[in-house]
Amino acid sequence: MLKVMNEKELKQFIDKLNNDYKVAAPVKKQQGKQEILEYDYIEEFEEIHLEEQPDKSPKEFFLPQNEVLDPEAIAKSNPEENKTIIFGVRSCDIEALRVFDDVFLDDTYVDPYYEKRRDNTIIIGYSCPHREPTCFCDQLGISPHENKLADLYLYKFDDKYWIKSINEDSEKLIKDLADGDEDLFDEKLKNKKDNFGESDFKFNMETPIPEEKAFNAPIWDDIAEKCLGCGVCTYYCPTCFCFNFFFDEDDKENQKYRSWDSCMFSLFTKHASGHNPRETQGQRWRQRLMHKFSYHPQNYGGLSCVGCGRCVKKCPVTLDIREALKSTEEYLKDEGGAVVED
Amino acid sequence: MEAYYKEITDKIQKIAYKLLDEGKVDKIIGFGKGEFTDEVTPVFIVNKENVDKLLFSEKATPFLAKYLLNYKDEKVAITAKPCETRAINSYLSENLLQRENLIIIGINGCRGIEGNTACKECDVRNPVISDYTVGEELSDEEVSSMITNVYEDLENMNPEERNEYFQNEFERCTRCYACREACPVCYCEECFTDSNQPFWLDSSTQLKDTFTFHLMRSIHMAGRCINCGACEMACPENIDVRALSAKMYRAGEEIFDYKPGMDPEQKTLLAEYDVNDQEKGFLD
Amino acid sequence: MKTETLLDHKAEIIKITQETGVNLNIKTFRYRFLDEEIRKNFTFRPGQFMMVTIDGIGEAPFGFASSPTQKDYIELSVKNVGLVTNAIHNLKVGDIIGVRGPYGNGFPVEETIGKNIVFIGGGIGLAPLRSLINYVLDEEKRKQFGNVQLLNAFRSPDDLIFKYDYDKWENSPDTIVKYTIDEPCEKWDYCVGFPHTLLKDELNCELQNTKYFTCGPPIMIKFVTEELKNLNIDPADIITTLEMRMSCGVGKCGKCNIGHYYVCKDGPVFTLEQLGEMPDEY
Repeated sequence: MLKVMNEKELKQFIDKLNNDYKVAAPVKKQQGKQEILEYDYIEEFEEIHLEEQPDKSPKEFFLPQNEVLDPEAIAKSNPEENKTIIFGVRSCDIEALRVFDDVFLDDTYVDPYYEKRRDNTIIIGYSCPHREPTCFCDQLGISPHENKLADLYLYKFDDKYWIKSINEDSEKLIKDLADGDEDLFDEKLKNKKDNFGESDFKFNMETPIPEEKAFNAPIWDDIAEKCLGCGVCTYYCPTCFCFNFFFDEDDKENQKYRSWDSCMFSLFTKHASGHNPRETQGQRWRQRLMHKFSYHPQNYGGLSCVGCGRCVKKCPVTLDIREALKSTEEYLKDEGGAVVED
Repeated sequence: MEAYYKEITDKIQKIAYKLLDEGKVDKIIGFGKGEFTDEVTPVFIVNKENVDKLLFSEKATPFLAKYLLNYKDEKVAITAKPCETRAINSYLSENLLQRENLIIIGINGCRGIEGNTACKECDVRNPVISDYTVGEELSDEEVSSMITNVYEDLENMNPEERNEYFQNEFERCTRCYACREACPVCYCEECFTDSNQPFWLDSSTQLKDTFTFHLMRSIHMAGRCINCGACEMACPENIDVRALSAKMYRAGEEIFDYKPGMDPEQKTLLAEYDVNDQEKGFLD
Repeated sequence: MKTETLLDHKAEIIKITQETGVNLNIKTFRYRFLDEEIRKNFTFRPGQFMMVTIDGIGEAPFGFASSPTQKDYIELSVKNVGLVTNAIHNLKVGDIIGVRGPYGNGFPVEETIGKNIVFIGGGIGLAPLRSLINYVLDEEKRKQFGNVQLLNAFRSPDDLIFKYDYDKWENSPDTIVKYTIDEPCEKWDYCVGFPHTLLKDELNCELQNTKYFTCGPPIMIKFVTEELKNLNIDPADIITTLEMRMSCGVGKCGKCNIGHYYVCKDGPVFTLEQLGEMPDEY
């Protein structure tokens, strides 16, 4: 189903959704000296800002930085009767949900906290208006223009907004809007795709990256030489999900809490005995890259990086994962017998 | 300004080439450009053919001196802003580095780094230790005239207002530890936040825990913070992390007439004991 | 499709045994679930592990040290090395702990039926092996397996653990038990020397129809498995169990992976053949 609206109609559409659901969208917030763009629940349509990539992905709607592991509380705050709609999600962040589904909905052990949130959230995607210098989703097989994992997808061409339903359930949300001309839409989308441009960085490796060869490559210490060992890349990454548990000393009921953790921290894998399998930053960086491009695809099929570029933008020393991938590719190419696809 | 920075860049590259060519150092730590971005990023040069990667500009945000701690036994050269040379003095005074292993290329007359509010308060704009210098020095008068009080508003607030200000700021802390990792004088092998036995504070982002982290860290900075602003530049959430440590810096100056990092033989402010100390403290 | 809430069930400590002297500090804890239903229905396979929670402190993984054929209680052996293990060591009989599990793949019991078995345990490494030893030597299961040999290695006579089991093991049909310590000692009549040096002479190491289970400090596992390989034993028949820092125990939190394997989900039991395919990061 394809519908079309002008801006006023879009406002009415969002306002109506906000009556029946809780709508979250990218909004600008003043933080200290700078403005930041992140997802939050909105009151007014005017708060929404779609032009730039949000600084934070909607990861926290699915895996909050801290949460109490209380199945009843999670069910209460994510009721089926009052679902959350996240509006204006870009393709990279939508693809990240595939990675989370792989891990948290893995049927050997389903995570009920994630499941509740995921089942009761509707995603309205937004076709990226332009590339940002740090974007490289197109190199990883992800289209910035659309994504099948969303429920609805919004496109803006000139001053009209086109909205497409991806599955049957989401049709009911847009059925009252004016129909859109399929041919005109296809033409405009093709035009957008042709003029969108490509990332400067070219990713030519076949994935999963060969585990043994890449693991034993002597490149990791150089790649991680400037890494500070903070957790910024992992915390802003839409697909990173490593976590840890803690108890709150003020909580007399001793409830169990889950919080984000990072493989970049030096103590992440340290045993109580003092032994640490990943003692150097190079080994930890290897884990990060190999997990995204080798281990996760081996276990679940798809990459665990979506090319959003936030790690590059936010890194205090601008350690660029694209440079790391290039070094990996060059090493594997030199070694022969790898992995360069056209 | 661009021409000025281009001149400095050329000089740095020439010095670097000579050092590597003559085998005086094994590695040069400097600023360079990313391959796919325009941001300035740390580079580590080992081949003299690659010295053209080195540069300096007002965008040289990263703080390089801390990397020296990874090469304690190697001969390295480093392009250092004046604040970084102070960090190097701190390391030397704490016996973390050997002077003969270092070649310091100091940047004279640093006009400040874009976006770093610490540069607005900077009172040391020429290197305090160096083997080579590039750029033009700034005179004491020029340096004084460039100082502004970034925290004037904060100083004028009453305690309740200040508390509210800090609570607002630290509420969005994600405990990423970028501030701690970027800070040149934060190099404890086991930080108190990671300590498990004894266990001091949670890894959660509840305000009580993030507040504790930042307050404790700034207490540990007392007498050691050189007010370089690496913490605030590193913070991805634009939190005013520097406010507390900068206060420690000013307190050190006002109360003890002490500025860390000015001299490689300098005694530390709080870790030294002298029998002639005025206050007997706990020995009374 | 199984839902994992990551929340624990409460259990009561019913017995604590100080296994070794205070230096090495190993205690064995025996517990029983508080909830009747869980107590009746909880079962596990030898070689699996549980996550034990001390409220307000934290949790840590421990291998089951008792056999699942023991229906009245469950045991774990704990060496005091850190925050959680220290809190566990401070427990008294009657105290409550939280337990969740069982997790992990467990020992390949089905593939061992009808075969001879050799156990080589070093120090606290004997604890996870004990879940299989007591299973195999259980009266009702004994006939399913061939002859059994045990080589229990310890640093010194003070470090012996599970002493109360030795009689039962020695008197089991078709079972040979040997003990060894690192250095000669007065009043020690058994073997002396590191376990890998004793394999050829003290044990009957068959190539066919035999499974080898070993666990102990990483260096011991390395030497023992090397020696077993030198004796031409098939790496698929040499089985060990690894330990790693774990948080969730279900392959999600990202701490225990070695390459693309999760020690908690794909292990902790691995054959030497599998270890050969894994990167060296443990």
